[in-house]
Amino acid sequence: MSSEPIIRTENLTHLYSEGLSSEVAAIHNINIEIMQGEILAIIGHTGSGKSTLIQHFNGLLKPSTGRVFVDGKDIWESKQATRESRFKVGLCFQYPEYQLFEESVYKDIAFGPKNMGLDENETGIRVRRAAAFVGVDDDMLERSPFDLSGGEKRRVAIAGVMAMEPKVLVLDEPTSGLDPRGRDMVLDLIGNYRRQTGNTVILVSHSMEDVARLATKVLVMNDSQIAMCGSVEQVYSQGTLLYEMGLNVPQITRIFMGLRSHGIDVNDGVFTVEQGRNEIARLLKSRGVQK
Amino acid sequence: MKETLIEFKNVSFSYDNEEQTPSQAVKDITFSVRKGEFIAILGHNGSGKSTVAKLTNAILLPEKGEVLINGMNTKDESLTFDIRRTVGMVFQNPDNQIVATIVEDDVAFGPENLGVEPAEIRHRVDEALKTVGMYEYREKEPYKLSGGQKQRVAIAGILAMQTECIVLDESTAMLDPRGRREVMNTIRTLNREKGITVLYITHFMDEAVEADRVLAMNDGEIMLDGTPHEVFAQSEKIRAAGLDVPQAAELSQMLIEDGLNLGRVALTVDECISDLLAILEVSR
Repeated sequence: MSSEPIIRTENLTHLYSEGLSSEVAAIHNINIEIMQGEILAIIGHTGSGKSTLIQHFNGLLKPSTGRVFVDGKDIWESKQATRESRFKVGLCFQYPEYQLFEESVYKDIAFGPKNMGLDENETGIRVRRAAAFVGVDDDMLERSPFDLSGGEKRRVAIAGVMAMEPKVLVLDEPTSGLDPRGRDMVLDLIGNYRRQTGNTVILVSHSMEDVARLATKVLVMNDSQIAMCGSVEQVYSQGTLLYEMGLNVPQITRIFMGLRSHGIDVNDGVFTVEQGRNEIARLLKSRGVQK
Repeated sequence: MKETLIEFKNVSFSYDNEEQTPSQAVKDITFSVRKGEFIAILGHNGSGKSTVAKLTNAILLPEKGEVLINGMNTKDESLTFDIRRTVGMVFQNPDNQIVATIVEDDVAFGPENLGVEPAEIRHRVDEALKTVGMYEYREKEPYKLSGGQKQRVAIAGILAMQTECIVLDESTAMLDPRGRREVMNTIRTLNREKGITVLYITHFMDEAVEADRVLAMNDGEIMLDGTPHEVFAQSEKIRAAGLDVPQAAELSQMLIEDGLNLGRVALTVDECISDLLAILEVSR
């Protein structure tokens, strides 16, 4: 891991309707450093500025004031730098399956790499590699994307961004609307992708359970600003504060917060069911309970 | 026993598919809903949940079997109007179901189409907006509202038609945690205080446990039908059908496996806390 952040923002502010009476800051004075290899989860209520923020990472939005650096380079310093940021930071929007449009799955995944100017051969290699990551078999590549199930379409759309092999993969609500099985497949593939490539992943999510499973770091946005930034443990231990911001903590965390408020000496740091099981076992053992 | 509002009798349905052989979305299902019930419907994508929803107010008609709403057969076109006045639907995407540019006009759209008197419409719109807690937003533009607020406006639009039953098809899927809470609280109030029958389709298990009854669908069939405790006790079946159990239930089951005498599988945070307290207090 290098010590230079892969993405860094400096006093980043974005105003909508700039100069009009309806002017509003969608994000205000954001300073963050995102390191190589992290899985950063960005959480916050609707309208808190999450989507506006991520659209600055590859130059889709231009800062009203402040700067954005990708790989140490100011992305607005030249046209070329802006273009490079598009390929270094791959953005997968919410409900990306609505953006599939080609006549075959292969062509849809190949769209990004072709746009980068890669030749047929390299494009083919990348399409197959990305398809393998998301669990799309070779025989599915020739099918029309419109014949696939919702979960399959979602994975094809994610593969389309992965095929550009960006240094940073940004996913806006990658599991929303999926059923539990589809959700688990997407979460697993994100984890595998990160482990195998070592690339940075940024995840925007409303699901505190998903975030607890994957993230190495959590950024909480509230009213256009950074409200908290830290490990899952640090952020999830602020249950009351999160609730006030319109967020929540996982059910399992609420159970242990409840036990604690009843005077039981349990650990605050319970975010998954497995951790809960171990914590109860530890507690009973410390009290010498025989089962 | 309260009277029946919705009755599915051996209902099957397939979607037309030009290229592939048609597959049955719903296979010979039979169940009924009594007035005032709050039913959650679970199932993986493609299990037939949304098809069931659309069969309840004649958006889809059964291929085989019958759907009766207050005794009215959905196949009888002359009754379609009365059926839709009885069962209203709220869909997933809040942006796809708002038609007007002002909140109160949107809520008035339904009763206007039913030919309700203007003075009565005014009264119904105000009442409906108050019920969902959106009265102070009545003169706002819908696009300025949050997702949860838009869904509550959509619910108000149904209330203003004075329907007896609301069907919500994954209406919280696109909302943030606060929006989900708002919609769930609204629905619970409507069910408890106004006696409105609710069919609530969801992938969120913590929402499903709030219902009186849970139907779990799998491959076009009803796999489980019972109280939340009865249904989630069958965790292996639930998982095999690609669904979740609430985290509280998962934890209690694990602890029971570990030899802890919890007495039951808890479904909610409060149940789980009180079960664990009972055990932990004794060991103090």
